[in-house]
Amino acid sequence: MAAAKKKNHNWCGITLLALYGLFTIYASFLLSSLNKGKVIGKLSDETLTGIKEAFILWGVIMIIGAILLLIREYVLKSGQEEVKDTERGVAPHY
Amino acid sequence: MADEKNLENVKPDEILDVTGETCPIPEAMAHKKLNKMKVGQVLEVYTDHAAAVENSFPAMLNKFNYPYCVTKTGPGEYTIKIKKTS
Amino acid sequence: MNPYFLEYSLVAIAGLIFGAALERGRMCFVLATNNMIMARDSKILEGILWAFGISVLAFGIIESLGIVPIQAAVTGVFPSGWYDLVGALLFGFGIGLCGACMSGLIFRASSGFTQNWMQLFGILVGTIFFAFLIFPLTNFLYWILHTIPWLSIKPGFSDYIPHEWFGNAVWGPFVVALIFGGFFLVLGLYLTKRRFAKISKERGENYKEPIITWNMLKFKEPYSPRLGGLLFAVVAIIVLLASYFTVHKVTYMGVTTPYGSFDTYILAPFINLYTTVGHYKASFLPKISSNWFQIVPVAIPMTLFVITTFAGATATAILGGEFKWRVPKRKIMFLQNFIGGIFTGVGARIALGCNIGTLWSGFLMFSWAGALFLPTLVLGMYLALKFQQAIW
Repeated sequence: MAAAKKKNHNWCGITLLALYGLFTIYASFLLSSLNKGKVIGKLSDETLTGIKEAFILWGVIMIIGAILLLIREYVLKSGQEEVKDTERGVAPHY
Repeated sequence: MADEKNLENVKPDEILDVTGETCPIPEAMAHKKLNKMKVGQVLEVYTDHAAAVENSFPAMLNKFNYPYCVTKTGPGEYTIKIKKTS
Repeated sequence: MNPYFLEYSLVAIAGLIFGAALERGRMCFVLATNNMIMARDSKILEGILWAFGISVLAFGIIESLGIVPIQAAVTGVFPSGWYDLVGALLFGFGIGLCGACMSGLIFRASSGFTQNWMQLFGILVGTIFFAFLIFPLTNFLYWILHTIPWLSIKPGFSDYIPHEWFGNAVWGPFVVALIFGGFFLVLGLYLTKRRFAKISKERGENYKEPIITWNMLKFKEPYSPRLGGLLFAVVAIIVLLASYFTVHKVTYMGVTTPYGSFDTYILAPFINLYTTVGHYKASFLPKISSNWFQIVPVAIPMTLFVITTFAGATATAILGGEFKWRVPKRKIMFLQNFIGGIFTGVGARIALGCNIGTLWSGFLMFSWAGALFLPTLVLGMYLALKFQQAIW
């Protein structure tokens, strides 16, 4: 039965979350480098700083979120319990 | 209701493994398989699409009035047993 | 404080809520349509109707009260025309093949469905294909068709229904919202009532579902789709108000154009896209020899919105114990999703948006885009469902 391979994949999700954060930070730097080049519709310095700061802030928040989830997963172990939680004959709430 | 209790331990006649696939494939394939099966046979479906277990399967099976039983076998993994009654 | 920083940060918070609403409420247009066609079950559809109804009514009130004046609201309105019909058909077929709409894709991919990551890849490839090959061609067609008045409607006031019907009357948006939003909300309420009555009859007891419970807030249970719909409306309002009160530019909901900017983020270090960073220049449209990246700015708040939506959906999937790296047993699904993704990407670009950016936002902008997008979208999804029932 499929039940044989019970695995907790939460670490995958946490990695994904950290990757979103890294991508956001990368995007902020790419944006400022694009703005230096020959492009249509350049942004003013003030605008660019605001956008860049927001991207970096949220990138950092996502990475912090990933760390918090990591703590929840491996220190508090609350994520692991859900794996054991195999309810039988669940009546779905139709 | 009694039918649904008994279903838990019945050995399935057919198995459909649609893990990793999203709607409408689990329901559509189960529907197709059920159509080919004989009355009284039991189909076991493995899926990990929570939305299918919560909405699509119950809705489809209630329409046909087939008894079914859902077992959560792991995080986001489900086994559905369906009995074809008509 | 820097207004741009404020706008982007607020929109990002809205993104987190949107991600949670999508993942917890299972808000997917394909799921709703398929359940409706295959089993006559309206549970998810009710959530979507609530989302549309409440947000359209709220936008009507906001614009009529002048919190966001009509003159400002109009600046964000897209043009609508024949391409909505064509794009929606391709888009609907694509999302039907993948089993996830543009927003459903976000919650599926971020709760670990690898086939939806493949769809996302297909969308990125489809967008590049559109940008360099189809765009110059359709651009040319736009130019031809924009000269025939009854085939296309130009952006701005002329495509703003309250202006079309009532001129500059302040109560115009409210009346239009009451017609469209009221219709969605009443239909949603009616479907809920009908479903409860049906289940009550089957079970012989008075059946009711709560909209919100403690277990939903603790991530133990998925949200009821109606709560998801409510959160959708909240998100749209946050995005509108945040963008208006910070940089005085109206932003409607949209998730497709950000995928285009993901393309820019991926391609820009390697090839020169001659992209625009700052603003949209509609005057570029009739130019034949331009690529799509030239007219779409990279710096839009919705990019951050989409990233935080992904993050919100992943976080709630982990908190709800539903994150799993799901690899389909039949590897051919990757191919189907890649092809579906290309259809999705190209269709969304032709229609200037997806089920969020054109369908929902079309109604939010009070333009005809939403109404034009809907029929062929449903037709496309229906064809995809029949196609899949035939081949699998």
